[in-house]
Amino acid sequence: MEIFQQILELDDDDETHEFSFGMVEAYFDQAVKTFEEMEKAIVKKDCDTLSSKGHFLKGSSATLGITKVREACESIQNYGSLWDDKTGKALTADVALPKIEAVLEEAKISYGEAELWLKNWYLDARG
Amino acid sequence: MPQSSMNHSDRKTRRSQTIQLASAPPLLTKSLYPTESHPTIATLDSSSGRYPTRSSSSSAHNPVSSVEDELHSESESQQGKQDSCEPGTTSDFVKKLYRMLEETEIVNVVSWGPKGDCFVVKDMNEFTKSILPRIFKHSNFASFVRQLNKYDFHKVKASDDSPFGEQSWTFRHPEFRADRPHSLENIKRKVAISRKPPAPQYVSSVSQGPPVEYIRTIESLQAQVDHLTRAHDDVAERLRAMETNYKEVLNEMVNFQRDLGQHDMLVQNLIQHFLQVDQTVNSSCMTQHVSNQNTTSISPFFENPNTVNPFFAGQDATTLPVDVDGYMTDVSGGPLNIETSKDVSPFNLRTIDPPSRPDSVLARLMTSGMPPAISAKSSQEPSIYAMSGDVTVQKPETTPAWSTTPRVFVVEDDQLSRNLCSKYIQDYGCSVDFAFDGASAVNRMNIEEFDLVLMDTTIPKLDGCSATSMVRQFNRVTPIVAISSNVKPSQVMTYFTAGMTDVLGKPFAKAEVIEILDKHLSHLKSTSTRTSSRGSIQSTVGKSPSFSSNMPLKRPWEESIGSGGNRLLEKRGRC
Repeated sequence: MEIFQQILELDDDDETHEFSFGMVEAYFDQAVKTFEEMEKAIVKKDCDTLSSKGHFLKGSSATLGITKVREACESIQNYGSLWDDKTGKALTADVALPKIEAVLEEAKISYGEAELWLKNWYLDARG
Repeated sequence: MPQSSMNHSDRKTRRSQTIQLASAPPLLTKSLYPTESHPTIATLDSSSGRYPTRSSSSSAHNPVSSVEDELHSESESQQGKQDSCEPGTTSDFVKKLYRMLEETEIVNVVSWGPKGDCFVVKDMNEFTKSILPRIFKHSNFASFVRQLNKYDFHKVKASDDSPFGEQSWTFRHPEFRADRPHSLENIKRKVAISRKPPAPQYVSSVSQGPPVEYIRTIESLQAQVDHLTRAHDDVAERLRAMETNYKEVLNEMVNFQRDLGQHDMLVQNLIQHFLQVDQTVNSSCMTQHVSNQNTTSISPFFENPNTVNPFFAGQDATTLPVDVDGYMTDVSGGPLNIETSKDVSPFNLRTIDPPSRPDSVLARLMTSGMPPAISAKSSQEPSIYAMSGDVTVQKPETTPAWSTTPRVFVVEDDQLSRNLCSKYIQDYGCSVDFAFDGASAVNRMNIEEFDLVLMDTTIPKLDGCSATSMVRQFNRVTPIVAISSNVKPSQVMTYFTAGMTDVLGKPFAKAEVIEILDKHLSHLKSTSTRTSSRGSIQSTVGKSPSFSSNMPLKRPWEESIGSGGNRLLEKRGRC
């Protein structure tokens, strides 16, 4: 939340929160797109793509301070690299893919929550 | 004759020196040169052969052969070559020589010359080690050469187009040919000639002096080379040890820095707690400033010590990572976030969650009204207001005045991070340029000069570390800061090794970015605004003398790390 606050501070105009809102919207777009690509990659069983997409979204989520999505993405990234970060063991692709699917669902849910929250926040802020 | 006796003793010393490598025991010297102070020997030396004898035979020819006998009988390691001066018989030495050259296995060590009219020792060391002992029963190359000279072999000066290398020795005798074994018997020992003073000559000649000198020089040089190699290995090992130490030191420094930050955090907490007490006492003064606004929630906030606590705790969210709504991230750069009080314009309090937004309003009001109040009152009650300023009010960050606008280069593929970064940078008064991948980053840096580079480590085409290494080949000056989510000491070492000047953790807090900018662009500031642009601890602490000790505690350390790290990096870079 704090990180989000920092970003808010950057807003020159505190009425419209133009800058931060722009960033947030960009994040929404990015996340949705990334989720779609992840879905495709799961179908194709492309673990490398999943890993890199996970890493990518992880970065942006972290930047905005949306922890749950970030953590989920980190898991996806690790599973994509065929490594289980919870147990610290290597995985095979077959085992990894269902895990990724599960985590992806979680990620989407968390993302949904965050999206909602942020949208509400901006509605309040911008009136 | 003093000269010859000098020669005699010289020869003895030289001989004893050359014997270092040879397996010949001192017997050789003893038998050949019984005593130095034997005048008769000296006389003999000059007049007769080169080998003085115990017997007082004075004839020119006999001493030679009798010496040979003596040599042969007295020491096994001597050059016991029976020589007969009878015509029609080849001397043993020559025979051995010829036979040696017929051996095909040693062609790479010694062989006939291309035209068969000379022979070449290609590898002197190998020759000395294996062939001389086997065939000639000694391993003294100098003696071998002397023997050759005695038989009137001449060393052929190595010409530039010598096919066998500069280390080769080519010897020639007109009668010593590969295709004429019979002419070998014409090779006889030379008649004794007067000894010339041993002058260091590099062109071989008849006298024995130069070759021996030459060989001695070679040997001493070889010893030097060995010694140098050993010294070099020593140095390499020490360098490796130092590198490991350096790594450890770097790790320690990173940890130290973090610990120190936490230390400061702790102090900050203490300040706050003390402040609460004072706050309640002075709350009346505070509320004056905020009474004109809709801040009903604030006065209770201030007067009620209970609410103060969570507020402070929340405000300084860095200290207590509260998980609110699950969106508040655990502040990884905890200690550093204390400095996150640098705001450009409306000074926002760090609020925990939306419901406490009135606090931000409060903060805004307070800060706008406060600074003059603070400065006015700080002189009177520095501890209280300065501390309050510390906690509730964030010190205004002044965009430092630059003598020249710094140019910052951001290399980042993620748009979000890029936008964020550039905003921070622009707010700080610098100009920003972008690159999206490593390759274009390197190209840009080749063309343009920047004052600071922020390089994400995960970028396409060429990753951050490789790009930095490439850049470092032509640019060692511009500070390059790694932006990475991985800031473990081992990883940090990788960055430094690649040529990075500093590391910025992702996700980055504004404070961290500002700190980096400060650190590396301070030389471009027109006024020394370092104190004001530092964190709240220091800036407000500066006002309160009781806490001023914190400032030197943190900053010189940071500076020394930064600059020391830089210096170290410079050195590393040069390597």
